Amino acid sequence: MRRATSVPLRLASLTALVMLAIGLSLVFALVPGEEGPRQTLIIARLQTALSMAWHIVIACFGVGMPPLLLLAERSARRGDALAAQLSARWTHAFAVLFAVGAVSGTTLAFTLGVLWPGLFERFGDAFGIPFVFESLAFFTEAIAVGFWIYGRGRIPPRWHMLAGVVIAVSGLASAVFVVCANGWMNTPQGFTFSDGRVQDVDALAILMNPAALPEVLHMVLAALLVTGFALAGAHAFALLRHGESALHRRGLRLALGFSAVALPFQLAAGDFAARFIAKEEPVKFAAAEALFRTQAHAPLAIGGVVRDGELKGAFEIPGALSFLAHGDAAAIVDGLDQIPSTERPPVGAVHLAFQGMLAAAAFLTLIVAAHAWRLWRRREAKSFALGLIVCASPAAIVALECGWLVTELGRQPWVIHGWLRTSSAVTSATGLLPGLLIVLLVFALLSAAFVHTIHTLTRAEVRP
Amino acid sequence: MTEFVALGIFLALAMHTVLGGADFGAGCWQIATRRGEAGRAERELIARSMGPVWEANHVWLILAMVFLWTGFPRAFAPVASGLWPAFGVAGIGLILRGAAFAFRHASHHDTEQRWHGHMFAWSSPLAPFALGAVAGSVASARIPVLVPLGPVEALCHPLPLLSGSFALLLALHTAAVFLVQDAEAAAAPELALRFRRRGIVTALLLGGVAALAFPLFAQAAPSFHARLMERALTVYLGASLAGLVTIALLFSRRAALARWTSALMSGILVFGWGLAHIPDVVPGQLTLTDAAASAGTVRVLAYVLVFAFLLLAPALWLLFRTFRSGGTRRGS
Repeated sequence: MRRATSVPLRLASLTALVMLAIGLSLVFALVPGEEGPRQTLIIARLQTALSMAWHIVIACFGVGMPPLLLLAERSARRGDALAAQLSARWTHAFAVLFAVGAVSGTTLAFTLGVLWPGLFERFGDAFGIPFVFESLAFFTEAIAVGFWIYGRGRIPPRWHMLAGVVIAVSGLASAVFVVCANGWMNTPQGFTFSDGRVQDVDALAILMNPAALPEVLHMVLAALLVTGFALAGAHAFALLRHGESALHRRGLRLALGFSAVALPFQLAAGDFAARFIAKEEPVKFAAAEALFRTQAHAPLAIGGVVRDGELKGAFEIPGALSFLAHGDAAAIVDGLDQIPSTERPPVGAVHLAFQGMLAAAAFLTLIVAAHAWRLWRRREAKSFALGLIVCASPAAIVALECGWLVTELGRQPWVIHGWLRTSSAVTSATGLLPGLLIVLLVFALLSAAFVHTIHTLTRAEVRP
Repeated sequence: MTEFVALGIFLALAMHTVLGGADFGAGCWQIATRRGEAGRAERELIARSMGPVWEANHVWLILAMVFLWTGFPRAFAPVASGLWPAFGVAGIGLILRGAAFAFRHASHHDTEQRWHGHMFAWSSPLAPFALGAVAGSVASARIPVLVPLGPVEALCHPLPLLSGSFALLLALHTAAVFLVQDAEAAAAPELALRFRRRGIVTALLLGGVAALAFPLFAQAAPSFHARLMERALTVYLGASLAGLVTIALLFSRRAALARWTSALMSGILVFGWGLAHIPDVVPGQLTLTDAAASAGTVRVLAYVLVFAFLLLAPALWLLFRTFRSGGTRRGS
């Protein structure tokens, strides 16, 4: 008993320390020492980014786990004992992650309200609409989760499955609504603006903003992938640690198969999103590609660092960017020179994040391709492949975070594009640094809890 | 329509006070349990009465927050950003509880479990106290952005401190009454007696603090106090009555009924508080109409509110019934 628990605890402490190190180095690198509006802005941005970056991962499980649970539960009801064990194990982890997600979501609402009064004061009527529907969907999901967890063996199986379906649908719906809100920040519409505030709000137009569709597709698929790879990684880890086990093999195959189905769709959705921003959000597109000069035959830049207003050390494929964006290698692609430098997002960071996302996606594609090949050759993953699958777990999270950074940083200096600058939305309070440090500590702790929970999935199989 | 949405928000807050309050309060009572073997049964009772669904009770708080920022954006912005220390403390309290909960469910190690228990217990009082203090600050119009006050000054005044303590006591009371029945169902008469006593004492304390609060309100929040006397007084007499009935029911060992009267009391208290706010959000500073969103948004909110209460509240009730009827039989 004692030995069995020391590994997850060590893993959890390591996670907490790594998170703390990342957070503290960000604070040291970015936050100016002297108190004032500038310091407040940076702290507010960091704290919001931290809370969101954390919540986005856990929220993925609310979208991605229900379909997996339903798959396992369906097999279980057909008398598959392994699937039943798997379903019980996944349900336990899902329950804990859902509860923690509810908490970090509530806290996120607090964070937004406390730090960004300008966002609510002037745009709350419009910005809040998607969240109203989201809270309704979340409410439904919470109730259905209760039935799922406590209903097993207590309500008729048919109703239990129905609860699972409701979880899946409402989980999906809440993700859709939240991403609609983000889409609206990028392509705002459905309101008029007078007397310093939003008027004539058209709820439907807000939800159906142009950026919503590409963002929703990309994000929902990302949620499925993050969940699939996280579970696959956990089961691969268990196989490496405890040796062969039918249960973990089964979990691995189900979760990895799930990811393998979702991945091609995600590559297509990513392409769709890239074409969309090339057309509708050209600044973000130029920043992601670090394209400073407007040009025909624009090259696709792979890698490289932005220094002194230009991209250095990148591998360039001539004309490829023009082709990707507009389907024509000779097409003109707008560069960052179209707008004054004060209106530009932090190009270096956006480009880096975009490259990070692509690299992680390439790695995940490789894992999926290897999986497909093994299925074809009827082979099982051996220890090297299992090790790579364990790495895919964090790689999927890296892809998620990087993609999210591209969207968020690429929108800067605006919080609502064209309407509200981030610097005008921030609170006037000062002295927020101690708060940020406490939040950092708390999130490090929460990350440890997250890893600890995922780790419960890797316990050795209990054989009757 | 605007008033309807405002009352809907207070209804959601009342639900959170009862259901969330029971969870927070149970966590607080864990501080008072004895160490080691002696307190084990009590800790297990508390843990068992809160399954993983307990975080579902946060939906009421989320609902209230989202409705507030969408329906009354010009009130939400100054309150949240002005009273940031209180929201910060509440948020940290929530997160620590969530983390402790996740750890506890992921570990089977005794020493570890004890630490998670401590974290869970000691982070429980933070949110009810802080959110109660916010209510007091708003009622007495002590909002830093609207009046020249620092955020800490605004909160460190007898009135917010008193309302914070009141909210905390309310959580303790609700939890104690809920736990009496759980203890009876678990055939633990000794624990049932202990929580019965705690339920009675906290009910009496609540009455005492309320009596103390009235003169303080008259002095620090005159316009709120005037409206409270004018329209909410009957409501508060109802709450006192519900409190007295709860005490009587606890004495006569009818815990199941006491649960309802005590929930009724909390609900009335929060709802009456909301009644005394109308037509202002921040008394004397900001009216509901000035703070409200545009007509289209308010209409959407009203529809969603009706939908939420008509469809989701019964579903939630059904869930609790399914859960309660078997929840205590599960064992640990």
